[in-house]
Amino acid sequence: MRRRLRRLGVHIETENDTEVGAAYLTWRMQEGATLGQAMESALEDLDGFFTFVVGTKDGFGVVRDPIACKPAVMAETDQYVAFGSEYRALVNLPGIEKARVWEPEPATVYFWSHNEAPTSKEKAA
Amino acid sequence: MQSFDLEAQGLRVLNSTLNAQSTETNQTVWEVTNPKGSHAIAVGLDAPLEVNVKGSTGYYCGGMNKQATIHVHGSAGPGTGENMMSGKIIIEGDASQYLGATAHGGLIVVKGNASSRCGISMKGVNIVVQGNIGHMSAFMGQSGNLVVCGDAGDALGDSCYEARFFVRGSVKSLGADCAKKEMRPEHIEFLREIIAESGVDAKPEEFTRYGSARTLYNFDVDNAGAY
Repeated sequence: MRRRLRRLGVHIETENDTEVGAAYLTWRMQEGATLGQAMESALEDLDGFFTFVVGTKDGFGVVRDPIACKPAVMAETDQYVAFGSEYRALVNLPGIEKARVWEPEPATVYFWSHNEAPTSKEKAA
Repeated sequence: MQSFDLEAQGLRVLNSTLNAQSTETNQTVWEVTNPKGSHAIAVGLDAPLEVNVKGSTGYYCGGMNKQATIHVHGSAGPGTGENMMSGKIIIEGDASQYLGATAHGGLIVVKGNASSRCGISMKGVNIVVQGNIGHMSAFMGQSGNLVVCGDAGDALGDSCYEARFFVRGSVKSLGADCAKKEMRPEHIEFLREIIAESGVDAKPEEFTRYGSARTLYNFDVDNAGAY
């Protein structure tokens, strides 16, 4: 994937896999995909263990690979959406006692935008 | 009742205090406040204590438990009850990944949902979940019972040796060598007892049993694709 992206002219500085994930999403969005669409296609195009937490100017998205070995926890209130690798990381957030705390499903794209209601779309198996 | 503020007194003091209780202790009831997702709460207990944790716990709560009853009044993190030998863990909220992994005995009850790999490599523990369980649950299960009042995710019981799985709702898919099995009177009787002990809401007759098809016990080249 790194070689393919470099051939397409995407600037990648390191040999680190994490950067490939970021470069892939950047490339898809440069091609006109929304962040949500880019994360959907990541499930098709990337092979490996990953959890992407992506912030843009007006949105926030989360997607885990189908195996979902890497831990992930979300907390949601009227005021915010938070992500952590475990609940311990979220305990100092305001109102965490009343937040909806849940684990994102594998191979499922979650996306929040300041302009739209939360969405999640499960990939067909 | 003994009270313990985890934030003020710290995890090592909590666990060494609980570990120091002998089977004859008369300080049997403990309350732990401010758990705030701390790791390894009440691990390695070996006395008939009752530990009430007032909040959510992190990794490995109640790991290696013997005899004690640990009641989490919140949700539990990954690896809760890992390698438990006996006793009981009750989780009022949800449980994260690999609940009861490799556990040899005792009972784990989840009032909410359990996540992926619930009961992975279970070796005799009984796990009862009021809600749903995630994918790859009971992977390589060897002994014990997994009772699910809701639905099971993908690849239930993949590569299981033995162990029994009872699911009331749907199973998204069965793993390699896991098969649907008939419900006999002894299974109904077992469910009646464990449902009563766990305090979950379900009827024994509503469950379907799954277990090992026993076709992967010995290597057969025709099965090479299933390994």
